[in-house]
Amino acid sequence: MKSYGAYPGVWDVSLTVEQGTLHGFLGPNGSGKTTTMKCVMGLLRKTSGLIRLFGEEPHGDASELKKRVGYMPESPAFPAYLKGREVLLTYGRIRATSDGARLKEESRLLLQRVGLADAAEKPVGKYSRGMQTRLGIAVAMLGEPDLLILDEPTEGLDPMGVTDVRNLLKGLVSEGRSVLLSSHQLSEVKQMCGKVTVVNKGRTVVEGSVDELAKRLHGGIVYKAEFDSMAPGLLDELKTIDGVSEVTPVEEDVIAILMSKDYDVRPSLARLAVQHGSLLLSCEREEASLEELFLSMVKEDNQANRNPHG
Amino acid sequence: MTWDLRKKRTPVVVGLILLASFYFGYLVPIIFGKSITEERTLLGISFGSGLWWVNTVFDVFNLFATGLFPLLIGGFIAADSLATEFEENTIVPLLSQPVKRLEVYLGKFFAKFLILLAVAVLFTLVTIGFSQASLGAQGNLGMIPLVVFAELGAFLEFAAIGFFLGSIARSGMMVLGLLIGSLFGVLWTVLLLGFQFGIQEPMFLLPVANAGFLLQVIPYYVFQPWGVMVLQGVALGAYTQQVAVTVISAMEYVLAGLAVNLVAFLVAGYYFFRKAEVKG
Repeated sequence: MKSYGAYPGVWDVSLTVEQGTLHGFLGPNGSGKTTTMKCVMGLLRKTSGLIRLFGEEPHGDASELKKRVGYMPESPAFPAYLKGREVLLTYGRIRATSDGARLKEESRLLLQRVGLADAAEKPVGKYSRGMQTRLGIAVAMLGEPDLLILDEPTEGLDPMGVTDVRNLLKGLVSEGRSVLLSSHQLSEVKQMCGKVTVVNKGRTVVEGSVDELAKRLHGGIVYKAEFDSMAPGLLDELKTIDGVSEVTPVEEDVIAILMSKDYDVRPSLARLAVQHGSLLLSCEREEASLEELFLSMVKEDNQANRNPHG
Repeated sequence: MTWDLRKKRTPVVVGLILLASFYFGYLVPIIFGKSITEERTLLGISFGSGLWWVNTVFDVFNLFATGLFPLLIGGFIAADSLATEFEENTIVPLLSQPVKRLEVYLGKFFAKFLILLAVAVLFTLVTIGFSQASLGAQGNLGMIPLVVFAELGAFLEFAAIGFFLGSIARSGMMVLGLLIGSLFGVLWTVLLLGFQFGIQEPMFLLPVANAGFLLQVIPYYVFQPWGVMVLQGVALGAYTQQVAVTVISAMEYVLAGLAVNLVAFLVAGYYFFRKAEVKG
C-alpha cells in the first residue's frame, strides 16, 4: 500500500511476474501503475505491504538486487547536455557491470538495438520524446538485467518505433528475461503479454492470461446485432435481458452486447425487436476484445466502489 | 516565454565572477586609495600590507564568506544539482541504478566541489589581473592557494546549504529563492537588532548582509563568550572599523564556523535526501 496522507494512492495491488514472461500491467490513467513500479524500485516508500524481488525483500538502497533490474520510468529524462552515447556510458559506469572497453561496446550495441545509432553523438536535449523513450529503454537494458520494469515504453513512439520496441521486448523474453510492462494500450498488451494484471483506483481488479480473463470475466462473449431500425426504448429494454452486461451502439442500427455469462441472447433479441416494431436482421456471436473487457471491468469496479475513499 | 537563469548557468557564473573581481580588484583600490597600512593575518600567516590583490580578495572573503557572492555562486551551482534533478526527474534513472544514495549525494557534492574550486581559482586570478591593471605589478603570489582555499570554503558552505534546501524543497528556483530570502531575512534581523539594542556593529554589515553570519557567530560565542564580537565592517568597499579582538581570531572563527556549517548542512541534507521520494 502507498498512501498520500488520507488518500490511498495504491491500496490493494498484487501481482507476480514469472521468470521469462512478459507481464502486462494494465489500468486507466491514475490507477496506480506508476506508483507501484516506483515502490518496487524504491523511488517511493510503500506505506505497508510486501515487495519481493527475486524472492528477497529489498532493504535500504537494495543496490545488490537492483543490479538484476532495469527500470525505465514513464517519460525518462536525462541531463540535456549529455550525448546519447555519454548517457549510456555514464549509467553503465554507475552500474559498474562491465569494464571500460566492454561498456563502450555494450553502449554501441544498445544504441543500435533501440535505433539510436545515428543519434549517438547528439545531445539528449535535442532528442524527440520518442528518442528519449528509446534511450530510456537502452539505459534499462544496461548490464543485461534479469528483470525489466518498463513504464509505458511505447509512449511517444511512431508506429515503426512501436513495432521495433515490441520486437525488442519479445526478443528479451525469448532470451529468458522477464519484463513487467505497464501500458494503457490494450492492443499492445494483448499482442505481447502472456499474463495481465488489471488495476483500477489503486487495486488489482483481475490477474491472469488474456484468454483466461476473457473467459473468467463476463464469459468473454459479445453479440453484434443489426436491426432494420432502432425503435425508441429498444436499447433500454435490451439492457434488462438476463446476462447482458453492456449495450453499446456501434453504428446507426448496429449494437454490441457484452455478456456477463455464456447465454444465447438471440431469441430474446428477436422477440424484443418485434415487440418494438423492429426486425432483427443479423446477430453474430464474437469473442470480446480486450478493450471491451477492460472497459467493462473498470466500469464494474467503479460501480462496486470498493475503494474506501473512492 | 519562461525566464529561467539556470538555463544560462555558465554566463551567469562567469558574469558574477567578472563583476565581483572587477569591483574588488579594480574599482575599490581606485575609489578608496591605492594603499592600506594594516597587516592582515590568517591562521598565523601574515599577508603583509599594501598588497592589494590579497587584501581585496581577503576582504571579499571576509565580507562575503558569509555573504552575497558565495551565496550566489555556491547557491546557484548547488541549486542546479539535487533540486533541479528532482524537479526535472533526471534523478529517477539515477536512483534506479544499483548505487547507494550516499554515493549519489556525495558524488553530486564532489562534482560541485570541482566546479567551485575552478570558480575560486578563476575569481582569484581575475582579481589579481584587475589589481594589476589598476595598481601595477602585484606581489606575494604565494598566498594564492590559501586565498583560494578560503574562498572555496565559503562557496562550499553555501553549496551545502543549497543541497540541504534542495533535498527538502526539490525545486531549483525555490532553493535560490530561499537562499536569497534568508539573506534579506538576516539583513532585517540585524537592522532591527541594531535599532532595538543600539548595537552599532551590525549596522556596518548592512550593505553586505550576511545570510550565514548569525550561524557563524554561534561558534564564535561558544569559543570566546567573554570577547567582543569582531566586525570588520565594510560598506560598499569603505572600511569602517574593527573592534576589540584582532582580525586573526575573527578570521579563524569564521573558518571554524564555515567548517561547522558545511558538515552540519551536508549531514542534514543527506538525512532528507535519503528519505526523499520522486514525483509519484
